Amino acid sequence: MKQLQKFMMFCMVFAGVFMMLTPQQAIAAGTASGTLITNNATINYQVGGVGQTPIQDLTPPSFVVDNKVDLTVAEGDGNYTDVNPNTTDQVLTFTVTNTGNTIQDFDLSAAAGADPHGGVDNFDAVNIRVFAENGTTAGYQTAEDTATYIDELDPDATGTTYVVADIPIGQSSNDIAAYTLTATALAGGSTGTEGAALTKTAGADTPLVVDIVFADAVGDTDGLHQADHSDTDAYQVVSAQLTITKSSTVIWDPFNLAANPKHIPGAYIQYVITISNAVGAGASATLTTITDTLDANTAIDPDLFVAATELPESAAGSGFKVDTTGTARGSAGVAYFTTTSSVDGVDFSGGTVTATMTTVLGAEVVPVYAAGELKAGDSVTLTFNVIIQ
Amino acid sequence: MKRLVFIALSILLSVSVSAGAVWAQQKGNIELKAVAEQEKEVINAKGKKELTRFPVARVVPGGEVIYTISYSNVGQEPTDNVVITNPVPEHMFYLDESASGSDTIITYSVDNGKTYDLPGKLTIVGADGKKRPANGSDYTHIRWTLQKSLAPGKKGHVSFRAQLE
Repeated sequence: MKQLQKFMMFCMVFAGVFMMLTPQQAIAAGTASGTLITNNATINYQVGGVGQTPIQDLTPPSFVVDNKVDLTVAEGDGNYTDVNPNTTDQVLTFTVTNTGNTIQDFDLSAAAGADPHGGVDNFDAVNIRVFAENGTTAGYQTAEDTATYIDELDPDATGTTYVVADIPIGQSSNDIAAYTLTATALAGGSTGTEGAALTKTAGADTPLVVDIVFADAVGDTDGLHQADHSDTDAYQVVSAQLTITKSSTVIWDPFNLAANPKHIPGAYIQYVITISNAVGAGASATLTTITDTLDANTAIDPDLFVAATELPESAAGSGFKVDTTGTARGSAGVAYFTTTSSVDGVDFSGGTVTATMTTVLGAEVVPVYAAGELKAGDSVTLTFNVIIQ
Repeated sequence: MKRLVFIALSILLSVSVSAGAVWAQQKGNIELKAVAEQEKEVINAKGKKELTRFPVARVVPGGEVIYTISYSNVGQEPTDNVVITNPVPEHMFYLDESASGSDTIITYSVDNGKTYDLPGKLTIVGADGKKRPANGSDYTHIRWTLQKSLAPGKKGHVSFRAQLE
């Protein structure tokens, strides 16, 4: 009998060691659902000074950890996402974190919301879509990030999510469009398939069955304990603020010459077109082409005649002047162009002056300027003469 | 002897297979029964808030469970040196100052039951390699040592609270 007791004590010690070695599954989001929790009390005692076989509970109280469904949706940067008018696939970035204790899928949806950054939502973007990052390349990639739900997100893990939309052409600077992303936990367990909706377990608990408990907080537009959470981010339009002015002045006529010239045949009229991007503009403008169709009774002055000297301002054949001011361009200042060939960027044909600004204002490396770019505070002035026929 | 080994192996197997460790209760002078409960606030008939206990139901991380271990002397002779040992269940941590038991000295272990001591005297080595006083969440075992002999027919209970990680 003593031998039996000794052997059983050995078994108990061995079992104790074995159970200690069982890996713990502790995670920040808590013990994984389905984990069996058992309480084993032991009583040791003596009778008449002699130790007795320890007693354990025949049916120790046990339960399995239930499925705590919890999640947090957060917008990425705490600030507006700058967008330009007439752009596609503009992205608001959110994160969805599984703060529950079970692998779940998460359904994603976006809806127009209220501006969370202090402004007022005043327009709607179009073509609103929601995609989950697939992990191949960070940031939204049209070809890669095509899933519309987050698949099999582990407890404590975070999935990046994108609200993708197009910005209409008519928007102006500081316009705001806010979108709320709502993520809803769905059943996990099946890779590549969007899981079914979860239902919280009603009624009494079944101690050895994993029940579903909704533990999510209230987000921007969702309710308490509904297996969902939401947060809002907003697009803010930044755009160039262009002003264009055109002036015309009679500078010379064949009779009065430069003194009080009149609009008579043979007179020279100088046109000055000024394009400015305001100092406070939120974005650069990219000038493409500027065209000016002359009156049928006028002809272009190919030499940019100067009234006082009655000579070309620069040289014969340089009839078009470009003056860039307020700019960091290396080529800032005055430059002359011919009106007889489109090669240099300025052409006159069929009664129309065409300035191809991407050529006239070429790309520059330091500081970086794109072809035709007019940064905030930059101005460009175009000057040419016509002759009244 | 063969039979002895078979019995011992059976016990070992049952412990290994089931985390629940259903232990064949030996016939002894003492019976032991543990229950797990939870607590919730309800409004009683007088319209006052009060806490009621119910059998352990939904437990999710952060959930608190009250364990009550009842014992009784079912034998014919008094029992002495009665010691109840309860490992803090795996995935749970002991809630400070929650253990109770009349006429008992309650000690705790922070080394998987190798040694026991009173709360103020327990230390553990922290992640920084330095010794610090242990707190409830460091405890691995709770031990109640009865201060009196337990006469036939006498019973009592001890309890503690633990929180699910």
